[in-house]
Amino acid sequence: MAHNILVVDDSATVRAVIAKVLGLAGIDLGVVYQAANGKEALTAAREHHIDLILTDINMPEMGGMELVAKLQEDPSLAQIPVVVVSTEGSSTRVDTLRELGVRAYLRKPFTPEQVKQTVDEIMGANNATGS
Amino acid sequence: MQPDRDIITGTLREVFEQVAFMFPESPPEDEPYPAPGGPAVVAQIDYTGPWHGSLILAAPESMCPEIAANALGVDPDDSAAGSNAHDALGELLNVCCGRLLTSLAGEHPVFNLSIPSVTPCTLEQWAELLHDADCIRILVDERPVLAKMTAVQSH
Repeated sequence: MAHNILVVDDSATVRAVIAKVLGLAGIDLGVVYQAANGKEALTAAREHHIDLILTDINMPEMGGMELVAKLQEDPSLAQIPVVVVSTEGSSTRVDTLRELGVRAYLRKPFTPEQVKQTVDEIMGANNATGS
Repeated sequence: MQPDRDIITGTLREVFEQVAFMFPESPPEDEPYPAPGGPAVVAQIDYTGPWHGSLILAAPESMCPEIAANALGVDPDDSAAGSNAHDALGELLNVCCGRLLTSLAGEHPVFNLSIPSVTPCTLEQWAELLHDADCIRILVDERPVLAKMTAVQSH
């Protein structure tokens, strides 16, 4: 089944690069939705069926940490796996994100192989559990 | 405190190479450092945490669409390169800042980064930065790029 992925980053360049990488990665891809901050991402997640969210942390209006918390609060969205894609390299921050339920962390600049491997692992695991 | 210049220079090289596929060099000491040769921009990102400060990058405006084009994998004349030009420089700075903070402070401290700003750089701003003792000068494809990082211990 094709996977719909939501890419959340305030940089249009980063969104375009991730969308391109996803398109070239050989993933069974449905629609790649884009949002420029957490607020837009929540709206998109409520309007569309989303299988995976790739989000930055540092964004205006609503950042990635708050987005993850809001997703967890909403029973209809809490099961969507989230991958954080950020420049920040703090292991303390990564631990906090994992405690919040984030499934994986990709540090910028990422390689296409890292994106593909991460998405494959998460979508493969979700398919195996039927979620 | 003043962050280590070698770490800043090394990080700039890595990020320009990995994000923009551009290859910075140190300017030859026996040649005059080139002028921007046209309009320039200055990008700034601020950070807070165990230290606070900012990272500034000034570059010729003409370099921005090339950074965007290389990052996006499109031709420099492609409209996407033009529309993402400043955004791409801001993102490059964002990546530099994240890398630098980890290199300088280690992997445990948590820093919060601002949203990068990219604005026109006046001749006065360029000259001020160029002659700042803490400014780092590099050449990217033979064009001048100036960088400066400040860091103050937070209480």
